[in-house]
Amino acid sequence: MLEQQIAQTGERLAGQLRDHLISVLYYPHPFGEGGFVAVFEDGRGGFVDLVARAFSCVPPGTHLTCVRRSELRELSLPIHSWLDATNRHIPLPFWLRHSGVVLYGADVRDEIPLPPDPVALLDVHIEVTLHYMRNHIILGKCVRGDYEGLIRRLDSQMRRLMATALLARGEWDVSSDAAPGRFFRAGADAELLRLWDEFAALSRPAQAAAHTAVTRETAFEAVWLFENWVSRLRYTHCPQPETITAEP
Amino acid sequence: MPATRDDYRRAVDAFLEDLSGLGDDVVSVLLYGSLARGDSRPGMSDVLDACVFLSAEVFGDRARFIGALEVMVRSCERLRSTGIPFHPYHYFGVHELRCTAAVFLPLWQSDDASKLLAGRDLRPHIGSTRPSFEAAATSFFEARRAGHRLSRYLLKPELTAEDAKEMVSGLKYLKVWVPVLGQMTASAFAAGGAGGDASEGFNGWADKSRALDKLAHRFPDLETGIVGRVDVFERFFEDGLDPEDLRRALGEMLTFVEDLHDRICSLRGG
Repeated sequence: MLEQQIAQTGERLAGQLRDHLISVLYYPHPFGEGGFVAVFEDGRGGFVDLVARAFSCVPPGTHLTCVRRSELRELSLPIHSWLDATNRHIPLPFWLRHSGVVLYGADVRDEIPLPPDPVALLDVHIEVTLHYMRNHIILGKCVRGDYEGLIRRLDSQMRRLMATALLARGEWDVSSDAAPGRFFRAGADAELLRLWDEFAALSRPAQAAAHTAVTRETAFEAVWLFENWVSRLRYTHCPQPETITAEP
Repeated sequence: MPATRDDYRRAVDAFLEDLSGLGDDVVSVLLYGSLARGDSRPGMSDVLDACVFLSAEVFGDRARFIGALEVMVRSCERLRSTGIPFHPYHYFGVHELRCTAAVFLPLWQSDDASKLLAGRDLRPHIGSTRPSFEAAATSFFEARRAGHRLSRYLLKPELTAEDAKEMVSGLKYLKVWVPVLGQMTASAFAAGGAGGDASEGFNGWADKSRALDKLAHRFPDLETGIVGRVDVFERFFEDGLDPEDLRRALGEMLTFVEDLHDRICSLRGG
């Protein structure tokens, strides 16, 4: 999103909801479009109406989050949700606090706590990745014959996991392009590097080629490498899990 | 011609027949969702929600894994060809049994909400990590934010068919997940979670068939009627319903989510 569009969106939100807003923030996102956070006063009723008015004055598809001031901490709590929502949510508090811009009102960035345990974030990110990639992306794209799209998603998801792993080292400012270099320079083990190199050798020509050029065989090989890479990441970066079996 | 219960049964039989090609590499097949509960609606419900548990060795041997993937993809192709609403199923290795998503435990551990289709009954062994439970205990807030994104339709002057489709889909999501996640968050917060020790709050989570009752029990003055009325809109297009009724239902649902949110937050004193 261009700087001018960001400023205009902030102005529209402030113009429409000035009497109720504490702040409007914008954050860039390392793996895609940035987004806005509209922070409302506490104690006002009719929140659904305020949220509806906020969404009505931003272009459709804009990433907008509406919270009351006392709810800012909810942005830092872990979630299990759809893959895209989880991918966006995990780095959000880091980017809001460190790179966020105040477009209107008070600077509330310090009121957004950083998640206390980045390793736990990686644990959940791996869980959500396996939960939704295997059915919706791996089997889903294979069934549709979208092998090129499958390889792109596998590549992108591995980079996102690398970025999440780097949060444990205090490295939050990691883009999709920079993630592999930063991750492996940070000391990831040799097997992870070998699997990534093999995947990259497979995916580079596949991503450059036309849709029909990527074979089912190549896609399946990529899935095999992805599965091994994620499994190895869990083994090397997450402590052996303390398992809980709740009583239903 | 609309799908019948027999079509669903035949699709499940064909799915199991396809997987049988993997022999002992398939350790267990678990069915969950409406078909397992016995309340599926032909033509509306997905053909199946299932988890296929593969042997750990499959994930350690390239040829076996690729062979298993080939069989699973072919089984999905066959399920899709039935014309019944379909989405692919989950697959896991048995070595991953103890780190499945806590959000799904009430479904996957329950005799009422799941059913063993083939192989060993692994349900007593399914578990999740502590971070997974903690994420489940606060995922309600993301469901609320997902609802907020639908709020733009409350003020849109004219609703298109595409808008109505997204509203119906959003209402279905909120109907299922807000009660499930809301009772998880309420239970964890009541036990001191999201900042305190939530482990006590992990027990007693209900699947979607009982989640609303649990919420109503915890918050007797919470108005939950809209959750039960959403089903009317699942056949929005077929029944030619009024888009303004749909808009009103969405407003009621979002108000319900906000009321629930405020009550849950009061449990943590915030």
